[in-house]
Amino acid sequence: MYWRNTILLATFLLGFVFIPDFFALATSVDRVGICNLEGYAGKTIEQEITLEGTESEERAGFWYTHYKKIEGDNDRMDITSWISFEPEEYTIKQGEIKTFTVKIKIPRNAGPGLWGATAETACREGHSEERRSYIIFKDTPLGGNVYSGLLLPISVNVLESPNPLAPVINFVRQNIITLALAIVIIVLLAVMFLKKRRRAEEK
Amino acid sequence: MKKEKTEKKILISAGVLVLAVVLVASTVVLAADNQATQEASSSKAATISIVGKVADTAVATITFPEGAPSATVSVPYNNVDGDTDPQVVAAENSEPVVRLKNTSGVTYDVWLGITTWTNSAVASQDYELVATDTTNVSEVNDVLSTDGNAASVDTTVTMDTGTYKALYLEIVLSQAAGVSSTSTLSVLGETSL
Repeated sequence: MYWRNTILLATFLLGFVFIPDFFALATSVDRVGICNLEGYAGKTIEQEITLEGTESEERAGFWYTHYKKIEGDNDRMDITSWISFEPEEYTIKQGEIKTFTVKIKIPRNAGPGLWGATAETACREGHSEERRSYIIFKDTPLGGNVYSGLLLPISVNVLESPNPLAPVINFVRQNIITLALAIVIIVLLAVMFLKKRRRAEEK
Repeated sequence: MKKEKTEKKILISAGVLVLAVVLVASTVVLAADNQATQEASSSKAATISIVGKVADTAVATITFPEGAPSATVSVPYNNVDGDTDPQVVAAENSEPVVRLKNTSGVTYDVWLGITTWTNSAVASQDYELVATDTTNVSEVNDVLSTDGNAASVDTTVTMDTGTYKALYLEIVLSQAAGVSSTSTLSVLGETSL
């Protein structure tokens, strides 16, 4: 009786080893949105994004953009023309991880401020009303006509034109202690040198 | 005198060095005292799976059988369940064409989209997206495409993690006769409202 129960229990527990993972049946992505990217007008921002294949069949898919038009939107909401993907198309197998580059080319005449969404909180859960521009990936088993994918909101914060002195100011801020120390040392050395020179002249 | 001057120089140099060491060390010590380890993790975001009516096998194709021009075709089937087990639209015991399954750790709002039906063979397409225990779907009339052209629709249906939904589809054929047509269906998830 004891051995029978032990064998039954062991068999029951062993069964769990072979139960397929409920949560591994579709292509997964490493982020659910790309919001508040920062860049200057006329510059290109690059953002990497990764897909992982978890389905047993190989899948073929691609990336594209979408603008959710809402009445009353201004021209800052649709940034789909700024966006390209490298690569745009893909195939992915189970266990494969592929990295894509999303390139956002900000037009030279883009004014400073938020583009592609109505608020900087657009990527947060519960804020889908604020989203307007999206990047989308979708894929299907090879030869299929039924795709599954995800809509990922995207927005860009175009920064004010940079101050030419900004790099210098930033360097000073980041190294203020070292610079102060260096100034103190230089001043002391200068004082010592001048005193020495004066005494030499007096002699 | 000379000795005193030398000593003075040494004292000043030493003072400067001590000041430097104290300033740098205090920054390091303060930084070390202010460090603490935190951990956080987020759930995986995976696409919504499109699976068979019974088995959780991925569906690759949905086919609408041939119909007369201008007819409504409401018995599509998928490649997993086959043409012998199509969609059933009825007041009792209705069955979808496919089920959707959210295997992600994220709650999604479901969007549906189609590409334009080729050869203008389809005049319109509708859908129903319901709970899998809803078996009285006698009409499929939520609009997916009003003219058979490419369309994208926010169904406003949400899927919690680990849940299923039943998807019904229906097309109305155009007046064109003797043509075949293709389109793709997309099921997209967006992090929830």
